Amino acid sequence: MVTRRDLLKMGILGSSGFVTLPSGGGFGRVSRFFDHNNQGSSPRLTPFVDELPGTGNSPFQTLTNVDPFSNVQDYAQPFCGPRTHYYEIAVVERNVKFHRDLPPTSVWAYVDKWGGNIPDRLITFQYPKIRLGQQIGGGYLARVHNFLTTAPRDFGFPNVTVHFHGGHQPSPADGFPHDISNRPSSFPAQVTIPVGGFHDYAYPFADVGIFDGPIEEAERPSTYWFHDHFLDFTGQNVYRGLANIAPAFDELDAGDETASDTLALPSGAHDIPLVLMDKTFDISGTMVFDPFNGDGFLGDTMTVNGVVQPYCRVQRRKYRFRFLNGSNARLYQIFATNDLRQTFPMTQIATEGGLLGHPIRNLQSFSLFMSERVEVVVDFADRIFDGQQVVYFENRMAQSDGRKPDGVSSRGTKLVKFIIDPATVDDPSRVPDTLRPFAPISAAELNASEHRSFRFDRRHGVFTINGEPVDIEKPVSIVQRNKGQVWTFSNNSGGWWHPNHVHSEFMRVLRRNGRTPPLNELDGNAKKDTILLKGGDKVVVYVKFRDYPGPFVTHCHNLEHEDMAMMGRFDVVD
Amino acid sequence: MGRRNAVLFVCGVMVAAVAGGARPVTSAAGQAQSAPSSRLARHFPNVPLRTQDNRDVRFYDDLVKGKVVLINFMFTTCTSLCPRSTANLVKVQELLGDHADRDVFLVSISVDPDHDTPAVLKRYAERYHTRPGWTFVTGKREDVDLIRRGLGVRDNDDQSQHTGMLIYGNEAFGRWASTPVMQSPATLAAIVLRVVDPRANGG
Repeated sequence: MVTRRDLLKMGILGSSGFVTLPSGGGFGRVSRFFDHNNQGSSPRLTPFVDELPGTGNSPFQTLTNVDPFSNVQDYAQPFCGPRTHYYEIAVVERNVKFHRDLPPTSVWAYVDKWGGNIPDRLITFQYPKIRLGQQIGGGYLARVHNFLTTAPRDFGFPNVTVHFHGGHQPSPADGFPHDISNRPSSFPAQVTIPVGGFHDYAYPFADVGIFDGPIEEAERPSTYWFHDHFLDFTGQNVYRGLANIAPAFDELDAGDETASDTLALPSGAHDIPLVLMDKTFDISGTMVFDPFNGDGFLGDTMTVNGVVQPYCRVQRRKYRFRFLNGSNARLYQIFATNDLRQTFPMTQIATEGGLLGHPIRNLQSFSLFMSERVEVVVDFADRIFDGQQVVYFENRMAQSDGRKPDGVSSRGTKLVKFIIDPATVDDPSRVPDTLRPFAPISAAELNASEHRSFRFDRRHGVFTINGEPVDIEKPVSIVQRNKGQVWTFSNNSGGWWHPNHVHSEFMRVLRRNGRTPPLNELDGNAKKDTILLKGGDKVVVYVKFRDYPGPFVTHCHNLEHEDMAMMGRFDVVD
Repeated sequence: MGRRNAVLFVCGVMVAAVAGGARPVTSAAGQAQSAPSSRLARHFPNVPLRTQDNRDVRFYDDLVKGKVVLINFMFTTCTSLCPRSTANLVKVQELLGDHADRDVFLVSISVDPDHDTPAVLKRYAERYHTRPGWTFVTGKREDVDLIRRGLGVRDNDDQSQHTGMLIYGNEAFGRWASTPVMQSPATLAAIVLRVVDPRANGG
C-alpha cells in the first residue's frame, strides 16, 4: 500500500498538481484513519464475480406507480394535476450484499415501498422513464417515508432529507438540510423527515422558465441523482447508502435508438448507469466509516452500482454509460482499458447539465469529481476493439488523503469488467455531431448581470465563505429571481480541493483561472451544477435563478467538508 | 483468498436479508449491532485530565461516556477566536435551558496545557460566568494531542488552528458531527438539540 508519506519519501509527490506515479500503486486501498490505527482495512475480495446491478440477471425494479394521495402537503398541491404520477419511497435499514464473499451488511437505503421482493443489493430501483419539458400538473410526486429506527448506530443520523440533485424544483422539494426558523412564510416549518414521518417531493420536470419565461429547453439535464442532505450528517448518511441515480429523457434524447427522428443514442439495455462509490468493510464484512474524519472519508474498496467491482456482459456495439461519482471524497480519473493496460477512446456526450452541444470524441480519459456526472459512448464494434474480449473501466487517480488526490498513475483499480460477446449484432444507435446545441450567454446578458464573489477559505480549522463561518439560518446571499448572476468562486484554502455545487439551476463556466475553460465545462458546449476548485483556483460562472423562490444551498460536494459547514445558504427572492 | 473468505464466513454475522414479499415495506428491518461506543471507543482515548476544580477525570469514562457532549479546544491566552467562542458558548449554554448539566454537557479542552493549570482555567470559567455542566480540562500535552487526533482535529498549524469547530455528539447513540463555534447561539443550540434525544421526532 502506497501512502502519501511513502510518496513523499519516494520524492515523487509534488506540492500541487498531478505527478506520474510508478505503476502498481495500491490506490483505492487507502483510508487515512484506519491506516493510522493499523486496522480496519477491508478484506481482499475477488473482483468481477458479481453481475453489475441494473443489467443482465440483476435488473433494477421500476418504482411502483400508486394512486394519487388525498393529503398532499400544501406547498406541493399546485404542482399536482391529472398528469402527475405518484410514488412512495421508503428509507429503511436493511442488510445487503456488496460482494459474493461478503455477508449481508447493514445499510440505509431507498427502496420502493411497494417493491415486493426487493433484491439484497444497495441500489434496487429506478424511477419510471422521466420525461422532461412537462407542463405544471404533470411530473412526479414522490412521498418519502422514513422507516429508520432511532437505535444506536456507529454513524449516521436517522432523520433525513432528500436532494434531487440536478433538479430544478420548488424550494420545499429541494431537500433543504435543516428545519429553519428564519424562512419565508411560504416555506414549510418542517422539510426534513423525522423517524416515522414523510415528506412530499414535487418534481415538476418542467422546463426552466415555466413560470418566468422564456422556456429554456437547453437547460434540460440527462442524469439526475438523489441523495440525503441532512445538516452536518450528509456524508455519514450518503455513505450509509442513501443515494441513487435517475436518468431523464425528452423528445430529442428519447431513449429509443430506433427512432430516427431523435438523437438515437444507445438506449434500453445499452444505456447503463454507473454509480461509483468507495466503501470500507471490517474483517466481519460490516461496512464501516469514520465520523471524525473531516478531511474526507476514503473507502478502500470500489463499488459500482452498489457492488464491489462487478462484471457486465456486453454486445459488440455502442453503449451509453452514465457515470456518477457518488463517493464522499474520492476523485476518479477514468480510462477504458484491457489486461495489457492498453487504453481505448471514448466519446463524451454529457455532463451533469445534460447533453453537450457537441460530443467530445477520442477522449482517452476523463476526471470525475464528487457528484459530477459524465456520460460517454463506447463502441465495442469499433475496429480498435477487434480481438478484445474483456475491457474495463479503470480509475487511475491515486488518492491517499481526503483533502485532494495524489495524481494520475499508469495503472489503477479496475472498477467494472465488460465481457464482450464476439457475435456481430445490429446497432441502430448513433452519436450525431450535434447533440443539444445552445448559445453561450450573450455579452448583453452578462453586462446586465450582478457580480458576486465567493471566497472559500479555512481559518481556525473552520471553512469560511468570504471570511465568515456560515450559519444555516443566515443566507450568505440574497439573490433576485430572474436577475443574471456572475459569480466568482475562489479557493484559497491551501491544499484542499473543493467541488462546489449550486442547487436549482445549472451554471455556465465563463473563465477558469483567467483562461477559456476546457470543452467539457465551457459555456456554449456544457452546463454544470458542480465546479471543481483545486487549490488556488478561481472560476467565473454565470447562473440565473428562475421560477422557484426560497432558500437553497451551495456547498462543497466533498461531503465531509460540507458537513464541516462548507455550505452557504442563498435565498432567491422577488 | 479462499482461506480469508472462509474466515469471513465463520466470523461473519449471517443474517437473512429483507424479504419484502407482497406486502409493502412498513418498517425498518435491521439486525442489532454492537453498541456504538465499542466501535467508536478508539476515538475517545481514556486519558487522565484535570478539571478547573482540580478534579482528576478520565476523558472517556467521566466526560463522554453515555452523554450528549459539546467539545471544543481553546487556550486561555488566546486573544483572537477563543474569547468570542467562549462568550458564544455561554449563550448556547443558556439556550440549552434545562438540558444544560442534565443531559447536555460542555467540555473545553486546553491546547496549551502547560500554561492552563486548573487554577488558570478556574479563573477563566469564572470570568465568563459559565454554569454547571461545563468542564474545562487540562492535562499532559501528549494526552491532549491524543484526544485531538481521536476527534479528527488534525490541522498541523499553530494551536489557534484547532479552535474553531465545535464537536458535538450523543455517545450512547453514536451520533457525532461538528459545526463552527461562531454561529448564532440559537442556530447552534438547535443543531445540538437534534442529537439529544434521537427518539424524539422533529428534526
